Amino acid sequence: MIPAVETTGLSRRYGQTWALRECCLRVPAGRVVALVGPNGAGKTTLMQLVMGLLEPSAGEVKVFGWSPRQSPTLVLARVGFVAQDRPLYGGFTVRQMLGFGLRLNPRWDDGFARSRIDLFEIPADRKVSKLSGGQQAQVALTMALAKRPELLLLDEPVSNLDPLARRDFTRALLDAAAQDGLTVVFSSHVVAELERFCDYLVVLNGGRVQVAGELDALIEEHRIHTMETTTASSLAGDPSVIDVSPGPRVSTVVARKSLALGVGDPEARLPGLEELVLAYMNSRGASNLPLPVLRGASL
Amino acid sequence: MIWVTWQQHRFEALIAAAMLTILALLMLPTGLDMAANLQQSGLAACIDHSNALGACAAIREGFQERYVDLEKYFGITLTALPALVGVFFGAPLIAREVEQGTHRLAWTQSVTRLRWATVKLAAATTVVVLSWTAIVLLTMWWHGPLDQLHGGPFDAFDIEGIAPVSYALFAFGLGVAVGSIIRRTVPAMALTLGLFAGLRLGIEHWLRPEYAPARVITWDTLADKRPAFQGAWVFSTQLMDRFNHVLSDAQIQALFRQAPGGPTAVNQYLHDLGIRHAVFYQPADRFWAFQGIEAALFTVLAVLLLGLALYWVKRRIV
Repeated sequence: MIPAVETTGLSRRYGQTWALRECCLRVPAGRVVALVGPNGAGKTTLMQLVMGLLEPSAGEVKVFGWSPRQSPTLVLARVGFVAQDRPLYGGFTVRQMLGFGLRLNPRWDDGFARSRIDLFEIPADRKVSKLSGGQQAQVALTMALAKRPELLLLDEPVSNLDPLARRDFTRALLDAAAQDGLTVVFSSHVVAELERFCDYLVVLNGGRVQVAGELDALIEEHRIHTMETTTASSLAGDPSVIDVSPGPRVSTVVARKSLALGVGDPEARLPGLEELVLAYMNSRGASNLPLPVLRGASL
Repeated sequence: MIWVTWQQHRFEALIAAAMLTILALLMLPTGLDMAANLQQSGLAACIDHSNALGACAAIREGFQERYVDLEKYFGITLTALPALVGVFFGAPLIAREVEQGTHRLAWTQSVTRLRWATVKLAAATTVVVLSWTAIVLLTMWWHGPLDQLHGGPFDAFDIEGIAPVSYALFAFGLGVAVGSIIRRTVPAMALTLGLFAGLRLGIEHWLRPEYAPARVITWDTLADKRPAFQGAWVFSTQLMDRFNHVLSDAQIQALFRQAPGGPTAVNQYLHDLGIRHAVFYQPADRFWAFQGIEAALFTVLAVLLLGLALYWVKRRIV
C-alpha cells in the first residue's frame, strides 16, 4: 500500500540554517499522526514541504507516491491543509469563504460544508475577521474537510485558542479522523491532548526526526523507573537511558525496556505520551531510529 | 477563479470606478465648454482657413490663455495616473497575499498556484486595458480642440493614443513583478513608483527622440522670426556652424565673450561667422508611428514582467 507521506533524506535550508535535515519518514495511510517537537523543530517546514509550499533543498517528499512540487495537480486535491495561524480571508464572509472552496476544489462537498457551519452555529453572513478564534478555527477545518481529502494536515491548529475552543476543535477533529481511510497529521508543541486519538508518533527536534513509530509499540518499549539519585547518576552514558530527571534524593529515569538494572524493578511503569515525548525532547542525542538515519548527527 | 478574483478585488474595483466617474464628471463639462468655445471664438474658422483671417492671432491667444491651466492640470493628472495602477493594484496583488500568509490557503486548494496566478493576472490585465482604453478615448475627445489649436496631438503624446494604455499595463506588470519578488506590500509599492517614474521618464527623455532620425531646420540669426512647426515635437534648439556641427555650450560661451556688446551685435557677429539656429524636431505626421513604437516597447516590457511574476510565483516563492 502506498504510504500517505514518504520522505527520503528530505532537507530544507534557509540561508545557512537547516530547518529540516535528512528527514526519513513513512506515514502509513489511515493513521492519525502526532507530529511533535519544540518550537523551531521543523514541524512547519515539514508540513509546507509536504504541501509543496516549499521546495526541498535536498532529498524528496512523496504524497501518495507523487511529488507535490512536480505533480501539484495530483497532490493538492487529495490533501486538506490547515496552515499555521489558520489563514483565511478576513474580508470575506463565511459564505464567501465557502464559495472560495467550492470554486477551487472539484471534489468540494458543499452540503457538508454548510451543515458543518450550521452545526457550530457560525453566522454565514458575518465577516471571517469578526468571528471568534474558535469559530475561525472551525471554518478553517471545514474548508480543509469539505475538500474530501485523503490526507489532512494541520499545523498547530489549536494554538492561541482558549481551552473550550481547543476542546471543541479537538473533538471535531476526532470525529473527522474517524472517517474511513482518512490520514491525519497533526502538529503541536502541546502534547497532552494528542494522546487520546493519535496512533502514530513523530518527534522532531532541531530539524531532525528523533522518534517515529506506532504509539502503542513506542510506549511498550519504554519504562519509567524511580530510583535513588546516586543509582541514577551511575547509569549516565548507558545507551538504553533516554533521560534522567534528577531530584535531591530520588530521580526519575526514562529508559528503554532493555535497560539492565541488575535487579528487576517491580515499580517500573509504562510512560504516558507526554512523559515519553518530553524525555526525548530533553535529550537530543537519543533516538529510537536505526543509526543510519542519524548519520552525520554530531550532537 | 474569476469569481474568486472578483470577490477579492471588489473594493479596488469600486475605488477605480469611483475615480473614473469623478474624472469623467470633470472632463465632460470642461470638454463641452472647450468644444463650444472652439466654434464661438472663431478659432475653428481660423484653423480651417490656415490663419488667413485678420484677428486669428488674438483669437488663438485668447483660447490658449483660457484653457492653459486646465490643459496643464489634466495633463499632469493623466500622465501620473498609470503609476497608480502599478502602485495600488499591481504591487499588492501577490505581495499582500504572501505578507498576510493567505497564500498558504490559496495555494493549497486543488488549483495549482501557477493557474491561480495566471487567471488572476489575465483578469486584472483585461480590466486594466479596458478601463484605460475608456480613459484614453475620453481624453482624446476632451483634448481634441487643443490638438487642433496646436496642429496635432504631439504635445499630448503621454495621454493620447495607444501609449497611455501600454503605460498602465507596464505599471501593472511592474507592480506585480516587484510585489512577488519582494513580497512586502508597502516597500513594493514604493519601489514600483520609483521604477515606473524612472523608466517611463527615462525612455521619454533618452529613447523617444531616437525612434526616427530627427529632422533639422536651420535659420539665420538675423531672421526676425523662427519658422513655424505646426504640430511638431520640437525637442532641441541649438546653434550650428557652417559645417553643420552643433556648437557645444563651451563654444557658445567663448563666442559670446569674443562678440562685441549688444544682442543685435551678437546676432550679426554669429551671422558673419555663418552660424545659424538649428531646431531638431519630429514632424507631426510621425505621431502614430511614434505611438506604435512606444506602445510596443512598454507592452513588451509589461508582458516580460508579468511572465517574470508568474515564474516567481511558480518557482521562487518557496
